[in-house]
Amino acid sequence: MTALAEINQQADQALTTAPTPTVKLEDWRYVNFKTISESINPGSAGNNDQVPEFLNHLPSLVIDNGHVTKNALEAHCSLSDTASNTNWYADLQASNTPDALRCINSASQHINIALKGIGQQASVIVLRSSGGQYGLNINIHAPKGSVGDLIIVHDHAENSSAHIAIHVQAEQDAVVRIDEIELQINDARLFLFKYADLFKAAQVSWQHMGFALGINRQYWQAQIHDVEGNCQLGSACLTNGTHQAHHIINMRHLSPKTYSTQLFKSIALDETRYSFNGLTHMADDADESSANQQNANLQLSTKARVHSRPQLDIHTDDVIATHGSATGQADPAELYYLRTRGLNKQEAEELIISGFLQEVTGNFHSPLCKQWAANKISEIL
Amino acid sequence: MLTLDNVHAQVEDHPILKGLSLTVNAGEVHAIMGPNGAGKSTFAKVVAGHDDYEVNDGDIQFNGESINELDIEDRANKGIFIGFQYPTEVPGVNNAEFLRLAYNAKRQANNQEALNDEEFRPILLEKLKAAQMDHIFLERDLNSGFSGGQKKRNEILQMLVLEPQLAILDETDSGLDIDALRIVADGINQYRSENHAIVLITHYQRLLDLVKPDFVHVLADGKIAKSGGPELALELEANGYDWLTK
Repeated sequence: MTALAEINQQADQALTTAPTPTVKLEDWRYVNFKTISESINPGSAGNNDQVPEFLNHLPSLVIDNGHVTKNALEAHCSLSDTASNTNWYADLQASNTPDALRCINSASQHINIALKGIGQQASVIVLRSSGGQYGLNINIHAPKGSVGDLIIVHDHAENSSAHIAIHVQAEQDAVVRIDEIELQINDARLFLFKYADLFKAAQVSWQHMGFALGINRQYWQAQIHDVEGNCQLGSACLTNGTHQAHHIINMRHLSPKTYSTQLFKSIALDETRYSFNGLTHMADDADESSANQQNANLQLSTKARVHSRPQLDIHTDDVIATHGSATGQADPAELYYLRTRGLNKQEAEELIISGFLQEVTGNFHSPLCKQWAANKISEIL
Repeated sequence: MLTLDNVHAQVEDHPILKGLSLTVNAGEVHAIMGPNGAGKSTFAKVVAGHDDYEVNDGDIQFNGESINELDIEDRANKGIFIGFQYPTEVPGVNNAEFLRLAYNAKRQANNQEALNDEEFRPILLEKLKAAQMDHIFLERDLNSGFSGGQKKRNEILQMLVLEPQLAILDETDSGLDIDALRIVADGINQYRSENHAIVLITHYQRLLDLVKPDFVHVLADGKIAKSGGPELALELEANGYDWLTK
């Protein structure tokens, strides 16, 4: 069994054994779980009105409640239905057109999708559930020298409980750019496991933006296995109400001359909870590597809570590793400056918050995603 | 245009302005000089309406209207511009977009329709040329990562775009090399007109060589210690402030 297969197996195991969050298991003691614990029945389907409009202009494959729309399938990629309706293998690299894979599934389904390659232009995956429990495992394999852009949109209905694992394997010289958007979810529980494995000179940029988020726990693990691998992770979260988001990051430099950045930002409103638990690991032979880790949070309510735990675990001397964490309110100096230019206090605050998140969403590779995120931030604020 | 009448102001119970009186008319350029801690920057902040500064006596009038109770943004939209000594960096906020928002805030305060990006862009490009700045600055975040000189030039760009009636420029010349100083001074001179008033807060004669003031004031211990013409600045350059403050 190759090392990669072992990693995948471990990831699968972690996914399947991770429990659905309950009041007992939840570490946070000061959150109102009442509305969540009452969410037993499947809710209404998705948040269709929130799906970015621009996605409708991309050719799409539709998997609607377990059924593949054949015409769309033939037009845009080869997709084979295996033993059951719950496993599909899509080779998006075979396509010469912009690809889109739209997955719509009903409650309580478990699906596996394997994308063997990534097309030349942005591929779109919309992950939608209509309530109940839901599990999904996506394997993204970027072959040697391939370049691919992927847009992942989470569109889960109220009362959903989803475990989603996304594995990215970037082979030598591959470039993978992922823009990930989570739409507003009320009373949903979302566990995300994100794995990136980078080989020689591979580049992975994974930028995430989430609004509201229900109870959301994300585990990111990036392993840079070979020289010149470069991994950039970013996340911007805007939470309100009693929503909460918890990010655990494990960035592992396993070879010399490997590079990484982590930029995680959150805006905590109302009674929300946000935690950042980030680790940068430099192995024994990770000489001449560099890593930068930053967590910045705006705590805009006295009842919101933010925990930040940046960590470095360095086993060799010849590396550059930096980390930093800051949690505070909107800078009064920035507010004053903007107000002297004629913006009122609310406009100035919104601009500061928008700019704060924009540092992450500005790294979205897709201009459409970038613009959509900017508009969405304005709309929410 | 601007009248301060016996203004007393304090921050956190520390009195700083102690009876400042000053009148600035349209078309005039005033220079305010003075030793460190005399209250020069406080003067700018008090006119701007900074929340931390409390005016506990006296009146500030702009175009005949008392502005003591006005919010910062209301003063700005009436036509008061403050050029900062240390312009604040605002990460993630695009410089061009910020300028459009500020421009539109003023238009809307004057019951004019906001301009979209397409309508605003020609105005911005014209001012950019006047400020002798490169297009690249429009695409960068507001003052973020700018050098000291670039920040000051960006202040001048904002002044030219917003076209205030009154510009108070707080040590706009500090930290500038000779070329940058000349560019900043060019921008100020372009803005200078019979409809505009300028107050330059400065420590040095070198800016006043390029922007000729009509009046020079020495601020000491929170009030005007002496006023005169441009020759006063030369006298200060030669003799310092001791002869005025002792």
